[in-house]
Amino acid sequence: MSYLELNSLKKTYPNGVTAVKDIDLEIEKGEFVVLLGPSGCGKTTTLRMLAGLEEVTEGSIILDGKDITHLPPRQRDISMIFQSYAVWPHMTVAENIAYPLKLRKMDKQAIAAKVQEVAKICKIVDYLNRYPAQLSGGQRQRVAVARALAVNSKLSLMDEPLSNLDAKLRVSVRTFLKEIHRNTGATTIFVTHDQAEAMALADRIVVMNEGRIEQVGSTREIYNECESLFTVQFMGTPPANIQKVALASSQGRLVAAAGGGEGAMSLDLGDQSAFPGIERLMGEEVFLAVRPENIGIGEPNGINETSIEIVEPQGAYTILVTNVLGGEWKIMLEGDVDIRIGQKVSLEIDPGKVMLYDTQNKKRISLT
Amino acid sequence: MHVSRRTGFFKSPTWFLVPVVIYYAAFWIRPTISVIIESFTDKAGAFSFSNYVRLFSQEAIRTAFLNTVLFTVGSAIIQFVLAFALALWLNKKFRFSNLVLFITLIPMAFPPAAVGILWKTGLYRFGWINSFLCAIGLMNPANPVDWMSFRNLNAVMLLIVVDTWTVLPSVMIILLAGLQNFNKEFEEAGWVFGANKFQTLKDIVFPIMKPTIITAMILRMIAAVQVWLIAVMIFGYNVVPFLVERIAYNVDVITFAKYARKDAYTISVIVAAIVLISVSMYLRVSGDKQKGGETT
Amino acid sequence: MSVRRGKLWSRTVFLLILATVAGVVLLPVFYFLTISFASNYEAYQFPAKIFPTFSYPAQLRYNADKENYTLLIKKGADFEAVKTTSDTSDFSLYCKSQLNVLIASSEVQALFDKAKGADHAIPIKLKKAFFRNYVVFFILAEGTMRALFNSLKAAGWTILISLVLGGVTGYILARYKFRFSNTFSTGLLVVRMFPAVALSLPLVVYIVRMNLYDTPFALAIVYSVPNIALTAWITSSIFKGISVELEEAAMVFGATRLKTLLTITFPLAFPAIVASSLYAFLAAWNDSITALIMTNDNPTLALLVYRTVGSSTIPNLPAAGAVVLLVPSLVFTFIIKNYINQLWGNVAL
Repeated sequence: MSYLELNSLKKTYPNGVTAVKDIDLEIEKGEFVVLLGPSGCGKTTTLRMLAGLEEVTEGSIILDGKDITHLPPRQRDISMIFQSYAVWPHMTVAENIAYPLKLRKMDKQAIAAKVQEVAKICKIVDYLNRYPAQLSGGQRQRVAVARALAVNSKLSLMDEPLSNLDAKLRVSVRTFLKEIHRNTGATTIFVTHDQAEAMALADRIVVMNEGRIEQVGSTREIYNECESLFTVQFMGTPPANIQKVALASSQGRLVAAAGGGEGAMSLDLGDQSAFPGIERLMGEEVFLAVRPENIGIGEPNGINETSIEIVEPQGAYTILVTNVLGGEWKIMLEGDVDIRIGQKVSLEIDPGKVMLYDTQNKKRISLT
Repeated sequence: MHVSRRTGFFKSPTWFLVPVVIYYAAFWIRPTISVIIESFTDKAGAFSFSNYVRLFSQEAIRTAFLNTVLFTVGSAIIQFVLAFALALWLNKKFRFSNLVLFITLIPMAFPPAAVGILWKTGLYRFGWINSFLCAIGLMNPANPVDWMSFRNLNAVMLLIVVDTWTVLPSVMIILLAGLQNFNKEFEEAGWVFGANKFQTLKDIVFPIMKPTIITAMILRMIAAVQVWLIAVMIFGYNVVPFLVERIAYNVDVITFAKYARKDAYTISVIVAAIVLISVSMYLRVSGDKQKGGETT
Repeated sequence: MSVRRGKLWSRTVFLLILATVAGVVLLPVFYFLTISFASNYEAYQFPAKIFPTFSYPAQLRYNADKENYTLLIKKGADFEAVKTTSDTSDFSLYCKSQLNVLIASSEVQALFDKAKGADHAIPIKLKKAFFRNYVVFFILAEGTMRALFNSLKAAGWTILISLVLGGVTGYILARYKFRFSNTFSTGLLVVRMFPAVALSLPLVVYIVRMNLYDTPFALAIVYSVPNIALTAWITSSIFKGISVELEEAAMVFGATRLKTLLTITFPLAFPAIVASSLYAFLAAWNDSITALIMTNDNPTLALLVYRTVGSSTIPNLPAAGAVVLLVPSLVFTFIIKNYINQLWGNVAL
């Protein structure tokens, strides 16, 4: 039995919209789990059901062996960091942190000690007597973290807590949250639509789409072993190059063709021996997905020759845009690459990183 | 956010306030000053407190003062509690909530004259209130209560009920606007961190809503001190005296009595003083209104 | 299951509150409407009906001994004798004035003949002229229509004065911080503290001097005094709700301050400003006291209703007038409910 279990969780709003359809998830104690997905995928609704802020339509939630499905929030022993931080404006920072402790009937000295302790961790000791209106966004965020930290709850929930911060602050708070998690080992569920955030923080990522779980796995699995077309489309910046193609074999090499008929274009994916069991797919239509960083370039050699249309230097890496199979493909190269617009190159695709998806159920085609 | 781009005196946008200031100088400050002067002068025009002395020796004025205080305090408390409860309830979105909102606002549209007819026809011995109570079996049709025979404290309480029916929507509307602007996450944070519904209301919603509550209550208190029309419409003059009812009585009924005008003016000054004092007392009691900070 | 029971419980409480709120508001309103349609006869009935009636179940009896006729109207299980006469026009007049039933003398004669022929009371149906009270109050009574127009004129002028002066004030209070801005907005509050009834007396003197006595415009001037302040608060709340950046964007792109106001701010604020004029409208439309002091031959509708309440013992006619008075106010209220947030969301005294 896991620490936290979500069993066939379902949420239908009174207006008939079903936000969450059948979520099954098991989370171990101490895990940092990120719910990731585009807006409207049901991730926030799922989190709010965990918090008890949203009524569960069907299914159950078991926390530490106790069914909390229909308990009010205050009886669940949870803490939460809200998107707007929800730091109460009429209380000082210290009062904000102390209020949940007061409700737990802790004695005054213990509260004062706890406030000092978490304030130190969150580096807000200097602001304890200030009102939230006198703090910056990042400082308020720290107060929200301190408040959540102080209660020592069974489960820590975070609803897009970084989305209201500017880009630079976001990265530093991200590191801070990870550090806190390492020190406290609190079981945490974190909701975000930002994949970089998810990948940086999570022990496990839960990718959600249209109220369902698409894939659960570690950052590496989610990124490299995308089980569905949705995941491969959603993960990665710039996104993976995806094209509907027909597979064919030509002189021992695997070739993907798109367009068909006269203007047919083809892409050499490499030696057929790199794709064991590919024979059964010959002539079939599939979705081909290749991440930009899994494509290299070389001197024109007759294979996969194309010309570079756009060059976007990013400092640490360079993004090239070229026309492949009638679509705009992106290529990501490490470092500052010296290349001109219009230059002819040959594309080198890493056969091991090519991902194929069924056109019907949009699931990954396993080759072995 | 306040912007001040041009600082030149003549380019200042405050010049656009001149028409308003002139308007108020002509139609408010001038009559007000003349009312105040009249209240402090005798018939001959000499400075004197005789008007105040004469008024305070009148039994009716003392009763009116007491009734006004009772009415203001009673209606303010009852209406605040009911209006807040109603606003909390209406702030939850449910099916037809827009229609229910409209229904609750209907009394606001009633002109005082209509309110008078409505309750007069209801409160007399054979009125609709008794008809309804008989219909649902709470009253014996052979022996109906004559509500209009109520006097003193009972009458004041009856007027508080009638007044509440009429003005509750206008109090509620201000609180509802405040609740709509209220960031729901403040409340949710309270629940999540262990507060029950009542604690959340007391420790989080009320304090954050304070500026809105103060606005609503001040506007209500100003109006409540000046109650008179419903009293006159239902009971007639002289039955349940209120301070402003006394003014209207002097102005409307005994217009040509010897001290009618003087009395009316003097009571006006007293009423204005009471309003001013009670509003500032309320502000003092409810504390620093700036601390509420931003609510979004 | 306890969860289900909890749900049922909260649902019951919800419906109970709904029923209470709807009942407390609508019950008086229904009775009020019914009274406005009631004939004098019905107005005296107890217990009163909550819904208006369209006709009377009645009987007509010929009294052979006195050679006259008795009209009986159903009351509870029995019939009550309400009028006994032998004269057709007397009977017709009674129907018209007491029952709101329009029946010509010739028709009465026909009924009399029929009753005479029968040996017992014959059932007759008296159909009520449903809008009789309204017709009497508005068309037959002299001056009601003129009072209605006076009310409209006074309300129109009040809206105009309050919106122009109050709107400008509200905009400036919302957008600029000047030296006396706090004093100024407190001043607006103080304006409402002085009893308006008392101010009417000295104001009458000025109004007479300005040759405006007994005109709707003079009423508007008085109504505007508290309403400019209220409009200023509300419009300043509305303008605070409109981002300064929208205005700045327009000015960056070369619009003058006035043009920005007219093309950006005003259109955005317009619906809420229209809704805010409700308050000015209501104040003017509903007032009867200032009108009592300030007018003589040109009363407003509210004053007319107020006067009839005082003078008549039967409330059905004034109720009909009050219902008409109520209609435009209700329409405005229906509009305003969608702008609550804009109107009051940023109000701070």
